Amino acid sequence: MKLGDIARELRLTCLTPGVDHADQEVAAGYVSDLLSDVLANGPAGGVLVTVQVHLNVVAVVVHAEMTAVLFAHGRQPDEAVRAKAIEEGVALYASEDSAFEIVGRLHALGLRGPAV
Amino acid sequence: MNAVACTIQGGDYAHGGAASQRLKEQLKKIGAEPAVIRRAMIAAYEAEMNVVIHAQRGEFRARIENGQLDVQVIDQGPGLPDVEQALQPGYSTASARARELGFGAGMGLPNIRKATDDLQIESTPGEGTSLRFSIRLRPSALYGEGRHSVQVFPERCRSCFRCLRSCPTQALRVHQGKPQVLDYLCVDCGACQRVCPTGALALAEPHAQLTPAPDVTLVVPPAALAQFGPGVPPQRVLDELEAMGFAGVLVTAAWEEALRAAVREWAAGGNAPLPVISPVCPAVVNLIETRFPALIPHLAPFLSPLEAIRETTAAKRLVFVVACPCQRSALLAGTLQPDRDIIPLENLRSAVAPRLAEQPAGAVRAFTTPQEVDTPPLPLVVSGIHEVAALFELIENAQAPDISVVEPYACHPPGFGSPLLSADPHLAAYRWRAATPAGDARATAVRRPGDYRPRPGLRLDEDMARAVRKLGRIDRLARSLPGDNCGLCGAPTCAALAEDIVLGRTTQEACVRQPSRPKEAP
Repeated sequence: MKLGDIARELRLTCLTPGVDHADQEVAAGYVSDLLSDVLANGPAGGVLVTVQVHLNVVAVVVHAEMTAVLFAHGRQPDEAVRAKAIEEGVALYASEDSAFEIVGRLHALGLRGPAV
Repeated sequence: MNAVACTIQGGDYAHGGAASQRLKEQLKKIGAEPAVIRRAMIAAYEAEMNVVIHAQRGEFRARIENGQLDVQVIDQGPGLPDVEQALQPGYSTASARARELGFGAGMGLPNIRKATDDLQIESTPGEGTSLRFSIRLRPSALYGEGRHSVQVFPERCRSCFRCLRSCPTQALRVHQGKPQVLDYLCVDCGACQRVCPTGALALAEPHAQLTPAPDVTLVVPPAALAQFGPGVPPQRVLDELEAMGFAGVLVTAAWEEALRAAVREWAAGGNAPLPVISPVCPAVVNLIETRFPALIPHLAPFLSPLEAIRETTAAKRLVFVVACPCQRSALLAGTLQPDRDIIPLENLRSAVAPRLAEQPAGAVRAFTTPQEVDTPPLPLVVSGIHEVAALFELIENAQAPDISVVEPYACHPPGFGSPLLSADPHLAAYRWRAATPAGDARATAVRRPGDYRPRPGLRLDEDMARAVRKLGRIDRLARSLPGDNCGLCGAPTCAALAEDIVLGRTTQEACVRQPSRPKEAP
């Protein structure tokens, strides 16, 4: 499913103008607030659902070669984080829903976790 | 070359990851494979963030040399009181601040160990920690993956050349009196070790001694229990091992049975082309990935019994007795250490034999002989690596449409024909069948985490144009050689010799059947 369609379905707000990757196909995702966990297990090309909003999240997502971060529960990163994400080409989205709710919907849309 | 050298400031979360980022750019420039880069990034980023989280400052240095990445991160910080403990998942000394940011889950060092080929940590409490790790770049860049457990002891070789023809993938050469295993072709079947009369080809070292400890659960294959002669049933050996003071002893037979059931179900489920091939023997899986990639869809997607035990057993420490090289390699693809967690059959035998001699037989616990139930479909059990290869050729040509499950073993008889077994394999197999100890309810089959992949094999040259030229030279040279594959040169076939000459493994004079040295045909 295209990330743009996912954003519409889940009513996500894009926080990185110019980098929304709307046309990118996304098939996998991961949810975790532990960065080592994301680094080791985040699927390349997938989306990350987290409540962590600081700069290191962007660094980890870049290393794991993930496409986008969905911040849950109304959490908002600051300007420096957004700027870094734009520079690195990582799309950031915000949602008022809880991580549980977001992951449930992503799964219903056909996204899956990494192969274990 | 020096890839990265920089200083990391403790507590500087905003710039954490900068050194790893620079390393990543360098690795991309030299054309390292994406999977290797990802591993390097996991290790480098974790090591870098450890300095940010725990230390005042640290030095990050990365070198790329001889196809290997070496990274060294030395910090001035609190140090680790117990390195072994720090390598356990879940152990962490991170501050509340670090934990709030999503660090300090105790995954850092275990992540690094998993991602690297070698890791060394030295630490002095109150002074700091030095962490070094290496990742090999060359194998996947030029030769494809190759991990085997055959070790060469060249001084023992007498150039009898028996190994050359025993190898199902032509992975062996004996040039200038020294055997050589071509890593990218070796499937770890043990055939060369079986025929080698001098021990020049042997199970790779290091390995551990059988040392009982209350936190160690021992895993043993049937062959290990059935090698003590007619008066010692397997259950007696099992009792003896249990009495030595291990936390527990697991016998792999139950996991083999669980895998058999899972493969049967997989075949019945219609998920894959028939016949479905059981992955019970890691060497056969290697053979398929190397020589029969077209059969990969036939392989049932499960781990081998030993790997399944490694992945699912809740034990403090697992130590494995391995019956053959392929089991050792399959186990080491995880996080086990050869000098701590792997015991060859011989070391078990020498530790248990004196105990068996001490106590007279007779105090034997009752054992059961299970009724063998042949649940349809009946699997075709084939053993011996050459017999397996011959059957695979038939399957490739669609000449076995009536078979639904194949259970192939590199050794003969199945599971007992290891070159490391000192007892007669047929007698050992019989003694196991005649008095099989009770099964184990914990046994289960485990799905493989990743897909089977064809091995890329040899690329003649990194440069495509040069590779094509080399291919042409090999072809012309091969046609100029006698062509009867006599093997007297130390290569298994004339075509293999031609490849060896062009790749510089030996010289043109190697062919002893030519009155003059081989010339390239026009």
